[in-house]
Amino acid sequence: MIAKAMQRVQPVGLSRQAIVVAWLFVAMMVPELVLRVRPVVGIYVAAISFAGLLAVALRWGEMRKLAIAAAVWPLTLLLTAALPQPDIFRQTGVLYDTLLVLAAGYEYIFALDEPSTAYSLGKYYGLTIPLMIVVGEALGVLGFGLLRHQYAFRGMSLPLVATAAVLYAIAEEFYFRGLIQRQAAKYVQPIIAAAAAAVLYAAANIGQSNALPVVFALISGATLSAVYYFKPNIVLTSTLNATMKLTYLGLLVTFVLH
Amino acid sequence: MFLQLPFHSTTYVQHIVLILNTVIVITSLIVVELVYADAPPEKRRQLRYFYPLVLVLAAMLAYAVYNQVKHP
Repeated sequence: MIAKAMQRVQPVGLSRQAIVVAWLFVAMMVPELVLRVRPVVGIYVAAISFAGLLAVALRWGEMRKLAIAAAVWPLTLLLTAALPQPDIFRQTGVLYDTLLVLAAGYEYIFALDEPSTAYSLGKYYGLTIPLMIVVGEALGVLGFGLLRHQYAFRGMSLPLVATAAVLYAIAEEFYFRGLIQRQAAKYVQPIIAAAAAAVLYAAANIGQSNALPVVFALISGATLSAVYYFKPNIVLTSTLNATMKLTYLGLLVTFVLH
Repeated sequence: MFLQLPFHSTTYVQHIVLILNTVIVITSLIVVELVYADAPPEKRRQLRYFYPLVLVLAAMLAYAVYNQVKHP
């Protein structure tokens, strides 16, 4: 049934694998959108999406790793929804903990078949790491300009939030770049995989009160995906992401939270 | 700047999620078994990719059962 549906919507010139990858990303984004509008309906959509992605993994063996990687996101939403917390900081912590455990776990399982050098640093990274810090600070300033009124963790201990922000950055990079972008690049052009990872990262920020977080997530996600496209190493993107978040928090402390 | 759950999770949503996970675990196990029942041994080794996901859902199923027994 899925193959026939795909044949009906397949545009001229796109490969079957590219269409499947597009469907996989839709399966990841639709639950996020529906949950924002109708949480109870969105839970069912997330469950259907998860089941559908597993079905894709079973039906097309060559897409198995990407489908399982994509299935991590709706499962993360389901798990986080099943464990309600008294405040938004703890809820966010559950979300990121689930994402990190699932993403790191599957990254390790996939690495058993294809040993990866995506975490090692060679001698040329002495210049690249400071460059990531500079770019991260620039993005942090931009984020402060756009999101200084969107801080969700008021009242929480700032050292705790700063420490958590570093872990949150690592979790995001493990999943969106280390899993999604890397696996998608095996089926479509790497530049398309980078663009898709950036769009997914922006879509994951939809659950906010307005569009500014999504806009900033698109800019920062595009930067992170571009860095990973040129240098596929999540140590670099994690450094950039963590510096961005810490710069944002530092500017908040200095100019807003006093 | 930080990912967040796009909605406020309530007790009602929690109960729905836990019941859904029960259905998903059972369906996943049945589908995986049907698909790989007659597969040759060299093809079955791909099943290990699914075990962690199924394990997580099985843990949620156990939590759901515990919740329903503790709070009928």
